[in-house]
Amino acid sequence: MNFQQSLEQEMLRKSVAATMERLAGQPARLALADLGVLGLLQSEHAGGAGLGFSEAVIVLQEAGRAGVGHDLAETLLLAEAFTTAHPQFADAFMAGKITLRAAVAGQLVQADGRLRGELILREGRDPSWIVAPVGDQGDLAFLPPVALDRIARGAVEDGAAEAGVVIDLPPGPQIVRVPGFTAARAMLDCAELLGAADMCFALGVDYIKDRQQFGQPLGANQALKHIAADSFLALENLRLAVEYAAAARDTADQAPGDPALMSEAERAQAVMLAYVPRTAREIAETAIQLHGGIGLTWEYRLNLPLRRIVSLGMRLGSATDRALALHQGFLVTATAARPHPAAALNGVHHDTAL
Amino acid sequence: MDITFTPEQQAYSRQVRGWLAENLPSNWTHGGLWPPVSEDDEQEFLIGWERRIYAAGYSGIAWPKAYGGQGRDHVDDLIVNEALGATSAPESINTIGRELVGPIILSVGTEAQKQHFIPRILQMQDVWCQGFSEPNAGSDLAAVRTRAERRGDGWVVNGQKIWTSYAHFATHCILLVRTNMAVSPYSGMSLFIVPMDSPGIEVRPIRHMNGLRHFNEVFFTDVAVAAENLIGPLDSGWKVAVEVLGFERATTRLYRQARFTEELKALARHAETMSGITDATRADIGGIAAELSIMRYHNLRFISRLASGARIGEEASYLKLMWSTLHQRIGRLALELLGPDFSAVTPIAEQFRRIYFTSRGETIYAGSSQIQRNILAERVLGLPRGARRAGN
Repeated sequence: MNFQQSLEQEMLRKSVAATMERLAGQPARLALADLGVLGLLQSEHAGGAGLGFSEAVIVLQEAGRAGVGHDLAETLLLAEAFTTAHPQFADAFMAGKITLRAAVAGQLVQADGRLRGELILREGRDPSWIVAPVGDQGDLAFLPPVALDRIARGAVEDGAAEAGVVIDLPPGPQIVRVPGFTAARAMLDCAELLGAADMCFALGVDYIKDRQQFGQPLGANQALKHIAADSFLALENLRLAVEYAAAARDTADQAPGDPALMSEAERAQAVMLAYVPRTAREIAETAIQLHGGIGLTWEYRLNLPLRRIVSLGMRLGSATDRALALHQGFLVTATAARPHPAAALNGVHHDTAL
Repeated sequence: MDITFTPEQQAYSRQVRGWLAENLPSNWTHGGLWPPVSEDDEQEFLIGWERRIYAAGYSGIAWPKAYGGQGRDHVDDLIVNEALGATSAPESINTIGRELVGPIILSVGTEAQKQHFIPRILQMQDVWCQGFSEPNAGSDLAAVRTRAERRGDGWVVNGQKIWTSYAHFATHCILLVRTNMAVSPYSGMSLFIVPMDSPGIEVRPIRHMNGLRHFNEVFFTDVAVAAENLIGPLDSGWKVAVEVLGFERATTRLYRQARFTEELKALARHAETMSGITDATRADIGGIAAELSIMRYHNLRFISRLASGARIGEEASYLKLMWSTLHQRIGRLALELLGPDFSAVTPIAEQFRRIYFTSRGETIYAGSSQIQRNILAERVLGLPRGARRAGN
């Protein structure tokens, strides 16, 4: 047991963070392609780095901190599936030149030889491939950039308008099976939420160190100190919830078929989902309060991570539903016939908290 | 990142859980004796239990073998603690000895002090209390007025302590006193070992609102203390205590997380037997369960850092903030859930009456939540200290 980031992981964090600082407006995807991390999750035999979620969450966290998460989660997760389905675009994809965006909501069905359904899309400024779930068995369709009739929706993020679209296409789009895509994207979304919350928190603390009122820095007031301290605890909780869920998932992936490791990964995912989206938002809201009026403005950059946090949180579902899901799992372990304590060690884990 | 235990560690965990299953008495249920017994009988039971744990080799896990410990590492310490917590095993009534005095003596004590006192703590020959707080020195410990003056080769202590848990049966007190009036408040204090049967000590009980005789006032009138009972350098008691406590914040009572989880599970089970349980309540339980899991991740992180030789700093204050608040939420949830049955004569009501009232103190003692937030804000986040005068 050594639940700490390795030196290699720390180095990855530093190089991604440094890359994010040098972006100067270019898409993070291109810069990360240069850094060679777009194929991070791709298996080594497919030419990728063969790394795991512990590394992927580092990339998303740093992208979240820099406010450039955008479509990075699906790009990392689907690199192998996309380049296998469309080998002719593989080079362009790995160079970061192809944008892949997963639908925010909705799914397609195959019927009468056509692919139909309604999707909600969040769109950037450049044309992109659409990734849409087909059925509920983990199938995904890659829809090439096409002109679609849109029903505009309210925008939460600046520059990322949402639209409803009706899909009705003849056969053609590649459909691939990517088991666990939804859960994996939720994990990377949580990692991005962590990074965005981290940025908000850092801005808030810096602000109350600098801003003078009543002849002293705002942060000399205990009322604000205590708010900052609580936010710090929340942020550390967020960090460990994400890092543990990623580590548990990697551990389970490395020993396929081990039921104890699998259930530990599922529990850690449920813990993360019950805690992270709501708490990340609370940290951002707190940062705005610490800033006072300036935090409310469009010009000041704090609204950007808050908008992103709200937007990511929307697609992760309601906090109450997530807490209920966790309660369900908790109750199962609580009401299971209490085994002999020596038998409670099911294989490798005994996370006593779930 | 490795979140798994080695086969050896798994075997050790099975071993301690097996021992607990066979040795926890049958009248130990819901984290207490049922039917309840008198406080004196419970105390006798607890002392006997701690001796049995020691005899079985599950006490002083990470303390050196040379002084009676097990000489194992922090991961094994975590494993034993999680086993204790998962069975809601009795909590130590010598926590001051185990978590404060032991680490301080092991860190800055003389060889003679280590040889004498450490094994006696583990074997429950000595039970300790902590003489830090005073009527006018609570959160602001630099205001300590109890003083020790040199007399001949030794010292004479005069003053008053308060909120002294366990003083009514402790054999020894670790006493924070002023030894130098001429220097700044924090640097003129020293730590002494004071036997509680020394002439001139008077203990007056203060009953806790949980109904138990828990803490006391302790009066010191011309109490003679031998020179060799000084712990660490003279006038450096505060520095010693703060340094050791910083490390300890991350390792004390590692069983708490597992124990609280068992408490929440008991409530979750009970809730499902009640009519009218709502999804809002279930979501509350799920929310607390999430944070209890995260509390375990923190334990794993701190233990991993310790194992790799890292220094644990003031950031560990958030653990105190976290567990004390979580426990209060569990206590409140029990109150809401049990409703009129909160006063029932049942093991679960008895358990949660005690938890609810005891947990009110957990955000106060050992550095209140407000002090922990100050520490985090000033020492970790670097916010300005503001106008505060310690020791006034």
